Amino acid sequence: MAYKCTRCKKTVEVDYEYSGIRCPYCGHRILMKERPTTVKRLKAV
Amino acid sequence: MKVELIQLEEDRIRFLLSGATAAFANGLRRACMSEVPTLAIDEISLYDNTSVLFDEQIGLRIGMIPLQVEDLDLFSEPEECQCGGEGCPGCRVDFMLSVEGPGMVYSRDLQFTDPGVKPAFDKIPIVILGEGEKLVIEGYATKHAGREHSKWQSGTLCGYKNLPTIEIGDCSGCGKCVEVCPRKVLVLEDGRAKATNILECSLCKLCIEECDAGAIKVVPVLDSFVLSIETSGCMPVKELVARASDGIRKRAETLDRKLAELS
Repeated sequence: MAYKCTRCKKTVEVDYEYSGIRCPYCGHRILMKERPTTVKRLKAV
Repeated sequence: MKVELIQLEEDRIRFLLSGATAAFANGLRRACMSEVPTLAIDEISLYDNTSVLFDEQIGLRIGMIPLQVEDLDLFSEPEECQCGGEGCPGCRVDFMLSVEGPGMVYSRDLQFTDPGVKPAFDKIPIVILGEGEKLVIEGYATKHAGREHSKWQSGTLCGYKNLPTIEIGDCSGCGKCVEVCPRKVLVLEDGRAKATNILECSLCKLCIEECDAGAIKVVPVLDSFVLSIETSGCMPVKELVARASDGIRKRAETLDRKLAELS
């Protein structure tokens, strides 16, 4: 699953083996889950 | 049965129905609310939504926008359509919404493929977009009745009450009832209370409680009703009431036919 670092805006792959969430480029610990590029269909209710 | 018009505007009507039962008045009210079909946005495909609202909230807000149709009879409900409900121009109207911020997204931004379909009101806010935020949606509207979901409800505020009669007996002219009446139905004339605008009476009976002499009687007329009907804006109210009455007649005829088949 790809995430985006909120500080350096780079795409980050999270290593689940490692026990923490951290950007490997800048060390920032807040990552953002990007919206999937697929089309989302839903009922308008 | 007698119908007397009290007030008529584009989206609301008030009329006096006399010589009918409460069951019929309520049947008409219910038919206006849940039996008259109209178009509403049914399903959406979200290509992009970087606004502050969740996709589902956007979906709900778009679904609840009332739509006006030039000729409603051109469309059929998906279940009754010749395509078998798969979706064809006879039972679906596609739309597109593509807006980039900054600014407010309004109902007028919905672009329907059929020129005869448009939102009933232009300035219904959907979401406010910030700088660089985008909303790209495609979807379709279908025809259903209000019993499916409130977004297909043509009649919104529909109600009725019995026509009241106010009998004033031995009035002392104290004026307490005139003061307490919230709808200003009673006035003091020549030292006596008098009912003037009787259609406005809500049968709250505050005047009865206030009258020390016990001179006031408020009695509902059991076979006369004041009906107030308001539409969502999807069609003129005259059309709504006509369609609702027609629906009742058709259902009664169907029942009649079925009963005839049984005997």
